[in-house]
Amino acid sequence: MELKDISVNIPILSKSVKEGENNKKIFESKKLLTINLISSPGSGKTTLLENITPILNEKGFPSLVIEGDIATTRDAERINKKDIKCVQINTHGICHLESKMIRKAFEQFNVEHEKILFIENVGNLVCPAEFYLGEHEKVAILSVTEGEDKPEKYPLLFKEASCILLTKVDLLPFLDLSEEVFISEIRKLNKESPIFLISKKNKNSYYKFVEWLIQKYSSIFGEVQ
Amino acid sequence: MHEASIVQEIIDITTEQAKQNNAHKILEVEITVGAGAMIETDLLASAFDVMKNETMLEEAILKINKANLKLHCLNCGKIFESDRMISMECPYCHSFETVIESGREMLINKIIAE
Repeated sequence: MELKDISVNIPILSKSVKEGENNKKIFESKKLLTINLISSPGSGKTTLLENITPILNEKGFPSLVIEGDIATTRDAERINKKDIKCVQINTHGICHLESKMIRKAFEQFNVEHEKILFIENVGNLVCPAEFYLGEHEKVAILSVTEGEDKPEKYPLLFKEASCILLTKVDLLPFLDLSEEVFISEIRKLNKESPIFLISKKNKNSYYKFVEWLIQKYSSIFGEVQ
Repeated sequence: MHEASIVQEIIDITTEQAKQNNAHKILEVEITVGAGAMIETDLLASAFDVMKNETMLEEAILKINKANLKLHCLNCGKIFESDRMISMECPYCHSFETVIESGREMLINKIIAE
């Protein structure tokens, strides 16, 4: 049998990127700003969504949520209690979400007047940063109890995120760290993206992030009348 | 631990390429993995050995070329290389204001098939 030397030169994730781009086209046809939320487990992704979706509703920006989790439906149950349309993806052990999973989950939505789609990725600072899902923005979340060294240890995510949320800041008085330490560690890697400080004990702390989302929406789809 | 997803893509892409070239068996796959691709190459190799069964790649060997991460320091202008993505700190001026020039790639270079 003749041996064939076949030159390929194809990026391994090219299909996945293409599927992500197709997702983005679908999201844009429905006028949905899509946000990929990435953090370690327990940093407060679901708590953030529980708290900002009612504010976004009031401001005329209802949202959809895709919940990524390895095995349980606990996060989706929490979001459903807020009367937000939510679809759960269980990855069955896989450490990240992929664009194909997102498309399948998205097909389950009856999209009406929603304007923002949140994708809560599987809690993990490494793998989710490698997979493009079709989102407009990657938002990184870091809770103060994780320690100030995490950005330097997981540089890719913090370099690429277009917004960084520092959560659980009400716990700072109990730690030997100040918010300035966290901010300067993040700034070493990312000079430009906004950093918002958030605490569920202070509902007002969510507003700056909400404004940022609305601004992003307007920059893509125009001002909402 | 997303190496299994990467192996599945390798199997899909190389199978398609082999079919387009009227081959029915893949004997070798050569790939390049950048140090900034967040991939553990030993795990990738083990996943490949398990997942290739019952595919066109059953007898294939996986050749992995590693590429260094190349970073450009915006502060002092120097370019430096690293074989791991642990720190993006410039070794010359200790600035973190660095950009990735290359080394994030995961590429299938070629296959040998029959």
